[in-house]
Amino acid sequence: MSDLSVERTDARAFELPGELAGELGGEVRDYIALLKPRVMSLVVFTGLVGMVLAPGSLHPVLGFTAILCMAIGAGASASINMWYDRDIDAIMTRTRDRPLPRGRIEPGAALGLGVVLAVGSVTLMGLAVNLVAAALLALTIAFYVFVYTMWLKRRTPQNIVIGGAAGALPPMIGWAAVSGDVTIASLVLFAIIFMWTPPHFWALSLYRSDDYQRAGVPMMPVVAGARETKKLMLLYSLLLVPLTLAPYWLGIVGVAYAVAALLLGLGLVALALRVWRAAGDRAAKQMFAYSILYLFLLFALMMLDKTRMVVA
Amino acid sequence: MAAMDPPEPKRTGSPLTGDEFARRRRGRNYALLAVLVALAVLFYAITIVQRTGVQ
Repeated sequence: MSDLSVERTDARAFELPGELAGELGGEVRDYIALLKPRVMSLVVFTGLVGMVLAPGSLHPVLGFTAILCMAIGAGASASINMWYDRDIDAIMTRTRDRPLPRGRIEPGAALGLGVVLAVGSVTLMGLAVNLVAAALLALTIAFYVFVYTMWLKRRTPQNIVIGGAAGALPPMIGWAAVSGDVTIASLVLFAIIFMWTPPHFWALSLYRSDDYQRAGVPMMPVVAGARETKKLMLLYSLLLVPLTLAPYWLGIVGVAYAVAALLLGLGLVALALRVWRAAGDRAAKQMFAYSILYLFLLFALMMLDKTRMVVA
Repeated sequence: MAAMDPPEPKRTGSPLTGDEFARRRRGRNYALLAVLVALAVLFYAITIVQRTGVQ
């Protein structure tokens, strides 16, 4: 364990202002917030693209089930993550209004919900869709909970680089749900999100570094400084652009996607350069917002181009 | 004179009123009912699809 390692804060200090969350009970919307619906939507979308790009077909009911399992699995990971991180969530401005730090839901209820949803989603995926997709879903949940949340997040500035694998797996799950296997093409989809995650998340951590520092989370800007982080963001952005062209070289999408991906990628690199040169938070905020749009457009274009190729 | 004081409202052990607590619990129960009904319908549909072997 390095000097960067951060011990868990005494969680009891942050549990329930009135020791009564169990009796208070959360609103339904608190339980929904526990599942991080915005992250869930990105997981569902990239998983859906994986399903569309995969060779073969899947009955719509089973396709819906696969999507549902991915969404529930993502929600399960989020719930367990919030249970484990409730001490630092209470310290950080961005997360202190979450249901657990606010005492609206009992920690045990959040953990219980997460475990039930995790087991349920993997079981349903295995029984209704196929075992490869179920295994990948189980790997995603386990990686996010044990490797990212419990092991890396508080110990190393490489937390989101390695931990990003969990967020990159949904297209592979979607692909496996249809084809029943793991191929180079599905690994490329994984690699695109894997390479996209560091510049995306470091953009956020650049203008939230005070928050992370206060909570003792060794994000890159906290440990290595803003300058080094910006350099790495540019490097990852430069590596990402050629990688986004790989689906075209593999023949799973057409030239229209390749052109659009190149233009969108140049936009990302231009913003990364701007972040590198700029002193304030504005460029980092723009980079963060653009990176979300970038990934969405990239995967939407893959889906549209594949659909167009199938129709043609 | 204590015997003439109005009885205190029954405490639920939380800052919420009894009505608010009941409202939240009712909300969670309805949500759980909706989830269970949806799951029953989904399992039924999956069974039909797998039994008929349509892909």
